[in-house]
Amino acid sequence: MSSPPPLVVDQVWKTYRSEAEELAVLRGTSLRLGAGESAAVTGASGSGKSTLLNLIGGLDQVDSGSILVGGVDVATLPERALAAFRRRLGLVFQFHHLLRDFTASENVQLPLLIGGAHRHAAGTRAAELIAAVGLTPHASRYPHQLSGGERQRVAIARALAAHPEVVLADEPTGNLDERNAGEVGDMLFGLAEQRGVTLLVVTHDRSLAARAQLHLHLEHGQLHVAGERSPP
Amino acid sequence: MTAPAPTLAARGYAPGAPRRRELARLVLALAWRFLLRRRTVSGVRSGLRGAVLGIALSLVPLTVVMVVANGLIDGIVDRYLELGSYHAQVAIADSQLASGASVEVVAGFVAALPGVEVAIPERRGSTLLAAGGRRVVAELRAVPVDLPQTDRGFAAMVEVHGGSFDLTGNGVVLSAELARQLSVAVGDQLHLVAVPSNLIAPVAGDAELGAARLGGPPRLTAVRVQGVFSSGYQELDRRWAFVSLATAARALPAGRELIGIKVGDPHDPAALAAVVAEAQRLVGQLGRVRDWKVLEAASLRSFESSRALLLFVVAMIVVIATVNVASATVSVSLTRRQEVAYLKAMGLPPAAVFASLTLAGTLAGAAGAILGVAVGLAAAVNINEALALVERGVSWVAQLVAGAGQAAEPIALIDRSFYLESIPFTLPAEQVAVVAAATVALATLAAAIPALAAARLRPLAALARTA
Repeated sequence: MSSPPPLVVDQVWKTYRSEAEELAVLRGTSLRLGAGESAAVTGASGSGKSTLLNLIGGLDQVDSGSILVGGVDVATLPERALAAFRRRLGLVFQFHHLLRDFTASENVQLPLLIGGAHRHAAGTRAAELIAAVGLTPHASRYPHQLSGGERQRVAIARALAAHPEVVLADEPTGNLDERNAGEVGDMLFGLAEQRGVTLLVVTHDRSLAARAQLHLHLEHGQLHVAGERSPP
Repeated sequence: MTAPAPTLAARGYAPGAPRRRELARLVLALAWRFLLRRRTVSGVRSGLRGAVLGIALSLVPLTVVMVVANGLIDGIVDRYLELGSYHAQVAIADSQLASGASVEVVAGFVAALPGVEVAIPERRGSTLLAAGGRRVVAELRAVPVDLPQTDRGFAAMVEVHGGSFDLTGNGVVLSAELARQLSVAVGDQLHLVAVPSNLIAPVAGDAELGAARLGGPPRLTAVRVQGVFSSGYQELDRRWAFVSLATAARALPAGRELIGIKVGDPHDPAALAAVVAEAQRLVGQLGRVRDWKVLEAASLRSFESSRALLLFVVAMIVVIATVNVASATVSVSLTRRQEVAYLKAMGLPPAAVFASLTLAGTLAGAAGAILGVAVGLAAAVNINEALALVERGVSWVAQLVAGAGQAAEPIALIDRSFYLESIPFTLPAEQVAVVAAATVALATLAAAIPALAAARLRPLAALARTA
């Protein structure tokens, strides 16, 4: 029997309600990504891109439909199980969210330590990933001692640390200048491809989206294929 | 396409159940950094170090009060025990005075009782001391001349300022305060003016003759000052004048007789009770035997009440300081809201978030307790020097204010008449341990409330796109 696809989003609906109005941001959205595949979702502000990512990451709940990550239906998981579920994901946000009291290396080790890895194993893995993002000389530096691009590279290393099946990235280059954005984008897609990790990126940056195998555009709560390229 | 990423299980991890030991280590690391760490992005210091300092600062006075109050009270009680009430006392009944029973003989029998170290025959009564134009009411205490040699406890508590504790011949040994009031020194002569104790009534502590009402013909006995002493507690000894029993036979015909009993450990209630019972059995109707806790019950209650009140007031400060831990933890969890959210988004269980923040509070309490108690003990050990230094400083300022041409009176912050001249250091180890433990417990409790809120934080609420 074959293993389930890493990510399946099936007919997901999500509506935000306020006293004044109801805003259906996702209207039967569907998506399916295989192991090692990458996709980028673009769309106007407020179109529901981040909502989609939050739902997949178990940070928010669907109104209807299902999201399967590695065959596990996120919507059915209680809070306690959600913590364990989140350990199967890698997250990269527009803001790096590095813990300021931890060095770059320690930040990368965090998902592993949270997952119960031995600190020596975590240290070794962190060193490997810090090297992969080209920051070995800065491994002992604290976030405030790093540039914006370097911080985001640490965040990418951290997202990949615990061998996630799926990495979700929400505007990972949104805070970076063009040069850094290019470097970080290369690094994110390169490492994901190299390690066979399924990657879903939400972005406004069309050049970043163009690096994905599948470029999707979210409009009126529905995903449309905007571009496709063959895997390398 | 490359091969799919290996699962965590394949790598030896169990995603659903982090190893407890590793997680505990991570919780400790998080707590430690929440406690100590550095500036936020905006430069504001974030952490519980301020709370640690607050707790420490509040524990300093508490520790000083505990140690000094204990030292003072223990020192005062010791002086009562060794010099005043003795460990136990046989009060000879008034009716026996006329019977010719010798208190010295009875004391000899009491001294032979098991558990009794020393039995001291004594006669006490009020008298007037007259020297030159001055007259002062005193409490005359007639004791054996070899008392300092036979009673080590007595000798240990008496500091002779001039001459010696020599009661031979017509010698009298005066308290330093009596000597000051009479303006006499070693070698000077004075007169004991003996009157029945029920006919002399000092008014509001005024010791002058003019404030006393006299009755009956006074009996004058000339004595010579052979020593001036101090017990270190003026409130106790300010009216004491010691003479020999032989002198008292002439000068104090109507004094009350008693036998002071000293035992090995006056704080051993069972041993003391046994001695009291034995002594009572021995003296029968001749007198009434009571231990020091009964004899000094009122004073002890007063001391304990004062100590409890002091501790209560200072403990309130500690409680307030500990509550600061709650606000500091709230501050930490707010300034680190996004970090906490991201930790949860990475799969850190809510229980671990709660544990790390609560543990940070515990560490803050423990660090504050250790620091505060250490500084407090150091201050308490040097309280006499510290007090003297402060008094010198205040006096210097007073002199400065008075101006160069005028001499300002030296300022004493506490009246030595009512306190020990030198405050002894007594470490109330149990109390200190209880206070430190209570501080840590309170700090933990105070941190637990905001920690619970942080544990319940929904990651999405804090992971906004903007920092």
